[in-house]
Amino acid sequence: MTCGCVIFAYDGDIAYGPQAVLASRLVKKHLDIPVTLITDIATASAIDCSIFESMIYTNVNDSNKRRLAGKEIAFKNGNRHSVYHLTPYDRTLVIDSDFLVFSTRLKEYLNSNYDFMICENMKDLNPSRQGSHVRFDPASLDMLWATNIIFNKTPEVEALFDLVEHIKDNWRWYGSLYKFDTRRFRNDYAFTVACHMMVDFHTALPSPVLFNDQDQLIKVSDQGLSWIVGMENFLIKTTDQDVHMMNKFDLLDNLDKLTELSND
Amino acid sequence: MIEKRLPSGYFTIALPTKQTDYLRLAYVTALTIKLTQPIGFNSISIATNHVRNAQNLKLAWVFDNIIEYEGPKGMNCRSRAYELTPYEETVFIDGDFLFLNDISHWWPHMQKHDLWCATRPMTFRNTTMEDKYYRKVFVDNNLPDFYSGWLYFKQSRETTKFFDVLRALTDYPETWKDQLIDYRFESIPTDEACALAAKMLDMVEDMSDPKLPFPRFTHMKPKSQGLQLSDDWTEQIPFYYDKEFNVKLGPFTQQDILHYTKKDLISDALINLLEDKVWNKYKDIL
Repeated sequence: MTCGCVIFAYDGDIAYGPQAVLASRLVKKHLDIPVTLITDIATASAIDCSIFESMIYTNVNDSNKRRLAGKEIAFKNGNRHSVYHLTPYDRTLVIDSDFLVFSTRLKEYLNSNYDFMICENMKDLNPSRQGSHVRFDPASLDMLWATNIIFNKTPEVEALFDLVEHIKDNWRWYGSLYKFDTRRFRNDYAFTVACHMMVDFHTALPSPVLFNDQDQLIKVSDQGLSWIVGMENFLIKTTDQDVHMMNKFDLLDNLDKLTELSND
Repeated sequence: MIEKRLPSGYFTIALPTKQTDYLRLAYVTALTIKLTQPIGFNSISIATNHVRNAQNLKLAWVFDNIIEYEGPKGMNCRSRAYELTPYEETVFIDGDFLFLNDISHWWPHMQKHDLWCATRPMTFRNTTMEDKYYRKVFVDNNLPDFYSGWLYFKQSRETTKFFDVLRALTDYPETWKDQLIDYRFESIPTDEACALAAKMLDMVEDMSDPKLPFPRFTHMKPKSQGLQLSDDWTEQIPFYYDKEFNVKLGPFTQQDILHYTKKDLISDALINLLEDKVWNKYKDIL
């Protein structure tokens, strides 16, 4: 059985390609598995692709918009569901390009037998924030996080990915039914609804640390990453911990130093 | 004492008020029992002070017995269930239940005991209810977490003792007022009365097991559902059913029993649907 990691990256207002290169280097260092990049020609031509075992080129036509650190950002996220058919691996880890692996934690889950695993939560280290627990609506579902997914190729898992595509194609209808904000497509929402429709099909992955777009990465060293978190300016240090870093600006600003951490 | 001439079944008391037609609610409960429970586990009887109205219901035969009752009302009437029931073995239920699927497999476990009480309320999300908003008296007084909306009992000495105590608690406030702290009621509610009776008789472990996943029902007390905005859960959670009587609350499919609590939830359309389905199920064997 082959096992590997897949990362999606499409440059928009933010350069996702360099993030994917960093994420890939960290996966290789800590999880020791091959990495495939799903991208487009424009993104690939701007980065050194030699780190990836394979490249898959697909275009995403529909662009999305979000606010990040006070700025309106265009990005492309509409083809995550296609990973089931695109992945070259029997067992696949899918990560966001802003998910940085600093531990061997996910290895254990890659070695497990569960067919479909996804994060139920992220850990927000700011005690004054509500954290990463997102409920669509008081009467609706608790959101799953598609930041990390591990899956096997089985007919049931294929059905789940097909369902995600169906939900994406009928976004407003499902938004009305499940009472979520339909202004932009979110893979998190689509996977949440699909897992619910398949009667809690998933197994939970452990919750990684989340730093949102307001949190600042202020220092990168061999001893770990130092952060200023939230309006209260909490000082937090992470060591040997996987982090979901939503502040892409700081990620790119610190790319060289973070890359040094990915060296053996 | 009513002669116990039926082996086992569900029993409820329906005493309509100006605000709520409890007979109508009990009728719907009976329809759902007849619809979802297999033969041998689908008997239901009621005690009511509106016998004529019950006999005039479209499918009045869904009640295996309609028993005339003119005794105490409110909390006090439930402590009469033991003497009123026509069954050797009874599950006393609240009148605002919808039975959603076959739960007859609960019976063999309950039948090993003299009494058995529900301790597993569920949220509409199909998770075990953890919220204790409505259970302050239970927590403060270390009472077992009983939900008397589902109370199994058979005719026995133990059950007789239990109901004797229950009747004393509901009829004579002085029997419980010096045993409870931090209460704000003048009449003891039935959940508290059942819990206190079991505690006084040292029967808690004989009539409940919080680890057991049944008997359980989805208990739609709004604040225990994590809905802080209103006392009316239907303002926030849509209630759906299809023509097969599959029920959803919001996106969550409901199972086993829905204790809807919201008395005006039941529409004429729902009653018509249930009557049609029950008639189609039984028309060839009646």
